[in-house]
Amino acid sequence: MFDIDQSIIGDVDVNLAAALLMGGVLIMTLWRSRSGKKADTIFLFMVIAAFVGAVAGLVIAFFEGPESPGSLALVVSIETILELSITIQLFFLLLYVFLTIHDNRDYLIRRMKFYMIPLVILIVLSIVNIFTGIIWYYDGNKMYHEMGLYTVYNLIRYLYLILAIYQYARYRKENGQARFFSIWFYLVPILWGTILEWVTPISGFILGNAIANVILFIMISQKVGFTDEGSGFFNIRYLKLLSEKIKAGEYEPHLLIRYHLPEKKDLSDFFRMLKEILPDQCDTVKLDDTNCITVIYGDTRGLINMLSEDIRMISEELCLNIEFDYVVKQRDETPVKFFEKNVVIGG
Amino acid sequence: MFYLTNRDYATLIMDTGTILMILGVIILLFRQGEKGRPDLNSFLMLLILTIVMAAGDMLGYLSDQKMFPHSRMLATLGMTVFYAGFLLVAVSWLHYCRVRFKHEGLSGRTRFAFEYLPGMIGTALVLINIFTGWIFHYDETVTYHRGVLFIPMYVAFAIFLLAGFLCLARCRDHSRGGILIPLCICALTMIFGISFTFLVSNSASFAPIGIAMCFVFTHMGIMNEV
Repeated sequence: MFDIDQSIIGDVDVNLAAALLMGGVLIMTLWRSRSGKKADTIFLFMVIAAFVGAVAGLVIAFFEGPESPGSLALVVSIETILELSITIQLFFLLLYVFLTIHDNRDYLIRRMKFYMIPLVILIVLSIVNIFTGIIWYYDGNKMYHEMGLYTVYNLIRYLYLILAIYQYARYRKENGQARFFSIWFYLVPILWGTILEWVTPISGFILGNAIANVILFIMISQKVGFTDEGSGFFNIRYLKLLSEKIKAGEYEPHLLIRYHLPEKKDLSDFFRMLKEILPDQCDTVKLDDTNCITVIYGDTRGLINMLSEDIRMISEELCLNIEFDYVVKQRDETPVKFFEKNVVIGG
Repeated sequence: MFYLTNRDYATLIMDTGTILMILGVIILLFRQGEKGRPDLNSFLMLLILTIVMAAGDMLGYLSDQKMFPHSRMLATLGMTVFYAGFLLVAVSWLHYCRVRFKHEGLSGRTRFAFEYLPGMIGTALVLINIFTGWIFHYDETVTYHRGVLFIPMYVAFAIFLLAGFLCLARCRDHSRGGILIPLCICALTMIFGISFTFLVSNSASFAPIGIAMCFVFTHMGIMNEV
């Protein structure tokens, strides 16, 4: 039987649970990681930062307090690592949200300077704090104390969370629903942890953060399950889900494009260029190696001619023999009837 | 005025965290929209039982500190819900594993005898524990004491859990390689979490959050592989 100081047992328990959760997410993320996907790489960095934070939270519980072993410098160093890991994780969250919903790296690169400013300020403040104690400090008894600037430090850090929510909300307003991703699932455990940290003597933030990352990982897993790895479009599993969403009235298809793809050809360039020309309010499903469909929900006026021209141009440019045809929803047709008539679910 | 110890806070935080995580997973399952799949229904039942278990644990710990009038009765009720949930979760886990991989190792009465009967007997024992105190009981000062069947109950739980894992590991389809890693992670996490509860004196219960994590990761690990 091991005896741990009863005053720290709660912190050890909660931080151990968080470290276990984050360890699990990290291993699963490493196991699942696919090379070449920038969003996946950013998510991996985010998970590593959260794992480091959780481990630092666990370790520091053993070194805090007058009776604990270890020097003051060690406690300050671990606390600095903990604070920095939270900041870096939130920075990566913003990048991840950006890459997930926008799929536009050029815009992100343009905004990068602006996003880096708070991170640089926080890193500089953390380093300065080691020597000055202007944000937080440990007294001679190795007891933690916060200064007034800590609130400002936290607000700057949460700026990333606010920006991530803003990006998501703006995308949703402009493009309707963002499937398989909802930042609210991330926000709720973080808020829960922050409130617990205020009202209880135990740091609940780390556990809240770990739970948020577990839920985010699950959302990503669900998305991966419906994604065709080669093209990046949806796979055939998504068709049933799409049918249910159309029946529920969430989507109203107006136009269907059917592609007949050539066999044994490298189509990665075609898929990449197709993504660029298709409107935002649409879903593309790769049914099998030679068949693919795009369901368009928004306004289709003038779209058919424009898309026909673009697809033809891409085919010629890539020297691919891609055939395609259109089906337009008639006025007297219901969305469900239109979809079921033209798409065979499950095959 | 009640006084919550550091350990009580930790248990409450971990229980509410478990409930939060499971609720998130349930909402995600509904959003995913693949309704009617027997394995998903069975997984949903598993998640709901885990919430019940965590809620029972929470009620037990709060009453433990005499926070409410009739605290002894409420603490007993809370822990009864926790232990009943504990056993039902174990049975549901085995059921889920079998449904998920259409495992046909046992059939008919044998399956009933090995799967459901021990679960039903265990649940009945937990329910009558209110009168017998064989698994746990609270004394007049609302202090928790383990009973003679406490360790056998944990052993029964572990057997059910292992049987579920065995069912997954024995699956010979293409998904086998895909599930082994999450299985190992979850088994190690659970062993570590439960060992910590037993080996470190007065540490908080890792059962709900460990179990929730185990199920969620295993499910996520196998979901897209088959």
